[in-house]
Amino acid sequence: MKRVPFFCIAILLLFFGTGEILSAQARKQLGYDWQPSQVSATYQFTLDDYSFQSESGSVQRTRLNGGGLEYASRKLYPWEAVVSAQYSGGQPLGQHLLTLEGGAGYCRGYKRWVPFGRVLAGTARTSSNDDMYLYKGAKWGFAVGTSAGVDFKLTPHFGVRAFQLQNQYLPFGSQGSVYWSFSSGITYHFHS
Amino acid sequence: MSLRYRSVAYCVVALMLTAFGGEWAKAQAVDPLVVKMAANENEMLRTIGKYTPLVETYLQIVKKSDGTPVSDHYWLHRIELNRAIAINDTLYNDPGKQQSRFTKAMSLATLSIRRMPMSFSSSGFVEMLSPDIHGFDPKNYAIEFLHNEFLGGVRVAVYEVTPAKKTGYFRGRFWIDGDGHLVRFIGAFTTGGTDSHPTFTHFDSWRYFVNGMWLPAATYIEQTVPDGVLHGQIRIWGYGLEEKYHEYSSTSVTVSVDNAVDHSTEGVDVDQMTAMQEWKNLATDNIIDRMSRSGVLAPKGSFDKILDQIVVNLSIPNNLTFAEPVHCRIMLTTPIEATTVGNTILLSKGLIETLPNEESIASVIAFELAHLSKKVSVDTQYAFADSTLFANKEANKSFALGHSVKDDDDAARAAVEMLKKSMYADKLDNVSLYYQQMSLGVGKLRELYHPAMGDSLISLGGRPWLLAHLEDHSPRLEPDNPRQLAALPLGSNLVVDPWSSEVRLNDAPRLMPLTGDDKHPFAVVPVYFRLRFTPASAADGANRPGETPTAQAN
Repeated sequence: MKRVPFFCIAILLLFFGTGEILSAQARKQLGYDWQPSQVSATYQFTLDDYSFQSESGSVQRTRLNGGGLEYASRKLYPWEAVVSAQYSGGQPLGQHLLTLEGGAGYCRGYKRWVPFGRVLAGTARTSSNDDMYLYKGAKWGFAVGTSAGVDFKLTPHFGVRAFQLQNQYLPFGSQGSVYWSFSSGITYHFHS
Repeated sequence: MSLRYRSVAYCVVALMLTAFGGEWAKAQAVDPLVVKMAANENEMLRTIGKYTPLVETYLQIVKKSDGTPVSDHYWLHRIELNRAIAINDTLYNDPGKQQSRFTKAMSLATLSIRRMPMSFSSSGFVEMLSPDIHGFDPKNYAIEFLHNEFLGGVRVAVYEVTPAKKTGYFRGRFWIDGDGHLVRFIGAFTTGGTDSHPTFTHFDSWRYFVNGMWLPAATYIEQTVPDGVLHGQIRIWGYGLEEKYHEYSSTSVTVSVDNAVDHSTEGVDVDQMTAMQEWKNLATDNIIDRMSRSGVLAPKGSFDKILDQIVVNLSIPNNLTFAEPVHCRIMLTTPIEATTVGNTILLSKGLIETLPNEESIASVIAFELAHLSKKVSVDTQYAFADSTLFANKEANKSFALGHSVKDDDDAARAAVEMLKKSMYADKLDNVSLYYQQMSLGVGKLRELYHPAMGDSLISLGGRPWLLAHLEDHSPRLEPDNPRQLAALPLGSNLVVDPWSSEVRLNDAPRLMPLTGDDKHPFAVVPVYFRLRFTPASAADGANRPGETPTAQAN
C-alpha cells in the first residue's frame, strides 16, 4: 500500500510528460536548449547532525520543518545565479534556523525534466530555547550550501520541484555543523 | 430498478444524446465545399503515397534589425507516405554523420558548458505539405467562410480554420477552388512552447496543378525566434521519378533501322585512345544516370540550351576545343556549387537562381570550362556499374566530384583570362560584385556555400575563387543602391516542374528594386504562384482518368 502514492505520482508525471506528444498532430519543428528564470517555493525537512537522549532513554534526532523561497536567473543558461531564503524550526530544543544565501548553479533541461546542482554561500542565523547544545540568543555566521535536485515542468509557467537534497555547512559548534535537507515544492517560470 | 438508478440511467442517456447530437449537428454544419476539400485532401495524400518526391528545406536566420544572415540550415529528404499516412523520410544529407567521433566528442564537451544551438526537426518541416498529414478531418476544426477571391486566374473560397484541439493542429486560412481542392494554406500548427521560444513556425504552403492533380509544391516559412527571424523555403519535386524510370524499365523498345548508317568500312578494331574515351564516357553516363534517377539532376531542358550557348560564347574566342561537345545540366539542389562530370558541366539550381546576369553565369561556366580545358577528368571507377548501385538516399553524397584546391586556384585564374577574351570582357565589374556579395555571407551561410559533391566557389580562406583574380574590376559594393544588383534572392530565375523536375526560365518580367532593402541577395523570400487556367494541359494526355484539370500554377 505504501507504494500506491508513488505509483500515482509516477502516472501523473507520465501523463503530464507525454500529454503534449499524444495530443499533437504535427511534430515540433523547433527546439531550444533553454530554461526560463524561475522562482520556487518549497517545503523543507532538515535533519540536524546531532541527536539527544530523551528521559526515556531513546535517541531523538533533531528535525526541523520549514520552507524556502528561491529565485534562479537563467539568463546565462545552463549557468544560473541563485538567491535563496530558507526558514525552519523544530524540536526538541525549539530551534529556529534562517539562511540567506546566494550563488551559482548549473542546470540542463531534458524535455520537461530540469536537473540542477548549486553551490550557495551566505549567512545563517539560529536560535533556540536551550543554551547547552545550541544558542539561546540569536547567533549569526557564515554558511555554505551545496544542493542538487530535479524540477519538472507541468505547463510553460508552472512546475514542481520533484526533490532537492541540500547539504548545509553551518558555523555553529566548535567544528561547525552539517545539516541535511530535503525540499519539494512548486515553481513558477518567467517568460519575457 | 429503483427510482434512483432509473434517474441516473435517464441522465446518462440524456448526456449521450446531447453529446452525439451536438457532434451530429456540428458535422451537418460543415460547409459542403469543406467536406469535399477534406475528401480531396485525403485522396491526394493517398495518391502521393505512390510517389517518392524529394523535399528540400532551406532555412536562414537573419538579424531582426538589418536582415544580415546569422546562420542557415539545409536538409534534402526523399519522402514516402506509407499506408498509415505517416512520413517515412530519408535524409540525403545528414550533417551529423559527416562529423568524426573526435569532433562529436569535442563539440559535446564544449556544449556541456554552454547553451546548445537551436535545434530543428527536419521531418517536422516536411509535414507542412498538408494541414494534417494523418488525414484531414473537418470535425477537428471550426471552419468559417470568409470571402471569395481570385488567386491568379483561379476563383477560390477563403476559409478561416481554428483547431478544436490544441497543440500540433493547423490554425490559419484555406484557399479552396471550386472543385474542392486545397490550393493554398497559410498558418501554423498551433503554437506550442512560448511566445519567445515557439516550437512551430508560421508557413504559407502552395499547391501546383500538375499531371491532373494539385500537388504540394512549395512552402515559405517565417517565424521570429530568439536568434532573429527565421525565413525558409521548402521545395518539392520529383513526383514523377518512380513512374518515369518504371516506364523505362517496362517498355519494350523498338528501334527503327531505316536510317541506320553502315560503318563497317571503318573496321571492327578500335585504338587505345578511343577505348579510353569510351571508358570515361561510360563512367560519365553512369554518374549522370544515377543522379537523374535519384532526382538530384534535372532532365535536359530548355534552360540547358541557354547555358550551352554561354559555353560556345566562351569557347570560340578562347579557341577551346574538346573531344566531345561540352553541355551543361542543372542540379536541382540549393547549395551553391558547380562541377564537371566528363564533358558535362553541372550547376546547382541555387547558384543559377542567385546569379543576376549572363556575365555572372558565364564566370561560373568559365571556371568549370577551365577545369575541362586542363583535363577532362572523371573517376573511371564509376564505369563499373556496381559502384553506382547504392540507395537513392545516398546518391547526393556518394559522388565526390569536386576538384582539388590547386586545380580550383588554377581554374579561377584561367577563367578570368577566358572572360577577358570573351564578349563578357567589359562586364567583369558585375561579376566582381556577385562574388563580393557572396563573400559577405561567408561564415554565416555555411550550408548555402557548402557543396554537397562539387566545387565550392569559395576558397578555404573564405574568399571567392574568382574574386582574387578580379582585382582590376572591383567596383564598390553598394547595398543601399537599388540600381546595383549584385546577387538575386534564392528562387529567382528558374521554375521547376514538381512532376517532371524540368527546369525552365521564369518568364515573369524582373522588377527593379525600389530601395536597397528590396534586393535580398542570397536570401530566402516568400513564395507566390500565379495560378491560372490551362485547359491545354488536359490535352497532353498526362492526366489521370476521371480527373478534370482546371488550373496550373506559374
